[in-house]
Amino acid sequence: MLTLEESGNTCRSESQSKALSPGRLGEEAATNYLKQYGYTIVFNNWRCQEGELDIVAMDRKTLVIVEVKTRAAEIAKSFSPFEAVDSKKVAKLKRLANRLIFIERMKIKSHHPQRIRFDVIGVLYSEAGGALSFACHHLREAFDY
Amino acid sequence: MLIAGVDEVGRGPLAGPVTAACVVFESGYTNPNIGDSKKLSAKKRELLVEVIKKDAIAWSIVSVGHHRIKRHNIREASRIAMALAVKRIKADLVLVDGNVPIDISIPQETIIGGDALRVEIGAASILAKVWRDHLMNVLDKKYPGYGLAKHAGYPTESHREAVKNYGPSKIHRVDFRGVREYLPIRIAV
Repeated sequence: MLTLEESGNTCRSESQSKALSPGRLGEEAATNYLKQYGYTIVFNNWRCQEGELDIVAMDRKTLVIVEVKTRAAEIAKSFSPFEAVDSKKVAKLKRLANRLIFIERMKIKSHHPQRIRFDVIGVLYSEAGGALSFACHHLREAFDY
Repeated sequence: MLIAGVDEVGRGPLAGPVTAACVVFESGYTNPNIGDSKKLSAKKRELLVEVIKKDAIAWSIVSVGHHRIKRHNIREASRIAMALAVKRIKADLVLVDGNVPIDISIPQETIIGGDALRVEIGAASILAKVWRDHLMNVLDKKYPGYGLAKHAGYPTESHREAVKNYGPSKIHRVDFRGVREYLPIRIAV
């Protein structure tokens, strides 16, 4: 029998490649949402060995780490995307933020941040006639640094 | 002491994932409204989800899709779903619905018909059921024509008829009887 770790990988069908998955499209929608509100995007999908930060942006003088959680509107009726950011996820995001600040210190310094903030954007998508539409819900300062 | 209940829904359907949920309560928690998910109306279940989320110490939901159902088999896939759901929470004892133990390191106890007997398992069955029903509504829009929103993938007369007429979709369980007969014939090159 296979171990759980081996079987823990998510499978994707060919039609739903990573680039077009609701998750990726939701991150794109969130990025556009932030740009619209005057945020400067510093990194999209910043990756290191430990994991990935969805969006790193500047809100004037504040460095904002954004976690994007995409979910079908239908499911969000009972299970809000914000619930998916639990204590484990929060701990991971903080760890990743520390790494980011260390590894990318030169680039981040060039933006002259004065403080840091964690936001969560819940993206709800619904499908109608084969087209997806997205709605962003922004939770500022979702938890303390 | 923290007691977790774990249950799964969606072993019978011809399409969609098998979904497991795990709910942790402080020992001694009771709620007479929480019981077997199959005996409650959809509306009632959705209301109870809010109660469960409020009262539970922790909860988790995991779905295992058609790929892994095919790779292992439905029985193993549902055990994997339950084990993954348990791995996301912390508890002193896990109550498992059914009579097959799962691969976890926490002490466990299997209870046949547990969703009606234990509030922890009943609550888990409600979360899993509501999540999966919502998910099947989403999948119904993506794969229309089968009526997935109506029967949630279960082998009803109309569902069998649709598979027969249109062939299986991407999310159908190709190893299931009632589906595998209608797979497109592959020509070896």
